[in-house]
Amino acid sequence: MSAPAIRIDRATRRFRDASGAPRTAILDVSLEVAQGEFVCLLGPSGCGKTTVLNLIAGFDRPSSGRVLVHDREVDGPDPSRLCIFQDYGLYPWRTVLENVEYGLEVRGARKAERRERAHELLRLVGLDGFAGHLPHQLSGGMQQRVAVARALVVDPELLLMDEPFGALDALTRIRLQDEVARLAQERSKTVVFVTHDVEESVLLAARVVVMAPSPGRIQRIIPLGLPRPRCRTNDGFVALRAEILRELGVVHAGDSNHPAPAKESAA
Amino acid sequence: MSAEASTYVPATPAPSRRRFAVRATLAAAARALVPTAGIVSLIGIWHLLAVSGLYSVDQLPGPVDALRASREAFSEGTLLPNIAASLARFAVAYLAAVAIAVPLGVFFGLRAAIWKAVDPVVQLLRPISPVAWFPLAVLWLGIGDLPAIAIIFVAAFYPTLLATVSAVRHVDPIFLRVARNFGTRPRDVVFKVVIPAAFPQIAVGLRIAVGAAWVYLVAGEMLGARTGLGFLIIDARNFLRTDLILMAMAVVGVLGFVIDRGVARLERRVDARWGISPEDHP
Repeated sequence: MSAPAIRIDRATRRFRDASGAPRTAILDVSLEVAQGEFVCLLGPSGCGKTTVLNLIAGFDRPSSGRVLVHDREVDGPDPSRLCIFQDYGLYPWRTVLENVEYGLEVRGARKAERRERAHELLRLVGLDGFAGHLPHQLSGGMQQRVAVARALVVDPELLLMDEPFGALDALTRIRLQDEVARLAQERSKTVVFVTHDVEESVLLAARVVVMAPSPGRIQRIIPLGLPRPRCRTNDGFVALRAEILRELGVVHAGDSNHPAPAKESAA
Repeated sequence: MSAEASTYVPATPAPSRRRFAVRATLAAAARALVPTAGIVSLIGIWHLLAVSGLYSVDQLPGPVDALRASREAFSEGTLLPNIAASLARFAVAYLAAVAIAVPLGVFFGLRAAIWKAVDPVVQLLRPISPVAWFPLAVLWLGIGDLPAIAIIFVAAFYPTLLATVSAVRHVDPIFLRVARNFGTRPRDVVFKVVIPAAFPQIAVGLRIAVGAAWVYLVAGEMLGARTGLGFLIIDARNFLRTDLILMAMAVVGVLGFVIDRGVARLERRVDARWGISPEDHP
């Protein structure tokens, strides 16, 4: 087996909060992600899942421990590790097409070439007809699709997604989940996907990394082994969903038919 | 949507549609009428005060006198050249202030450490009225156009600088994250991300600066210029032509209003492009 795409080795991140008190965002987190694997970081707010993502992205550095991508220590953001954010981060003054072109433009690609490539990716996410629109003229789901196209245009090795569908309505979310699952598989991208939605993690991940808060740490790593494409009503799906809810302490043992909804929707 | 409309329209009784159209027209007329009514009332009150006998005609000429004075100034050839002189002076001073204050503001906005040192200096200099610089401006720049231009420049400079610094400092951090993620070079971050992201807020500053600078146009021209609307007022005072004074004041007001509307339109176009609604502005 080849070297892991991501290797996090006993990473700890401490910081001082607004009142100056020391806090530990994550403590002793170790994780390996294989090439082409889809991993979900799942947990309630404050469990450090976004911190882990930022360490891989290079937006943040560990206080101790190491974060390696392809055996090289991460020392800053890089287009080979692209983030997709909950609030899209599209440039409102640029058209959809210009947003998708951005990554190639700052790399100095020729105009004709980047146009062609941007159109190709817009077709992939089904938005080529909106190339000339401005982001604010699009729905949230469409904007997030544009963000996905913008990320894929530079052909990154890793996709780092931070609750990308958190701001979308339920139906749009389901459609985009299916789309991302398909895209990641087709293009064999390594994906680290942060979410607090149990169903989303079961739908997408090869492994679910369940995290716990204060201090943020890995509680358990659950390999899913479900065939793709996955069906939300399949028995295996429902069982795994119940197991993860139990792991999060949301459902009591033997009570899997009545998950307490409050915690899941509040996070 | 068109399918929805085609099934819906025939079902609507014609009278109610007509009533709706009439109401819309009335609403549009009211929107235009209310502001106009304010201005007409101002002129009316001015007229009533002028004819009330409270002051003599020489002390307070009415709108009719001012209108007559404007016709006189126009035919004598003193009105349009002085308006042109004022506008040219204003344009030079304002554009110079913007050309210097915006790049400086971008620089200070990006360099928080340097701005910490510069900010108190600006806050110290800003309360000094631009007019207070006049004696020194004459010493340094001589008599003529330049001192007046300097005063307008100072008036436009501070609001533009402060708005730009604040706009750059408040650029949404996610825009910068995305830029870093794509490996954007620092130069490109400034020109492709920071400045466009800050632009709507900078535009607000540009509009405030236009208003502030226009106010000081007359002050600047009253102090030593030989042309312009400010000079027209001083010149009329020397001949006790109060009707000319009021006429020049009215022209200053109207031109300021028109310029502000022009800049406001520019601001709206920027906001529309950026997808910002008017309420989003602080």
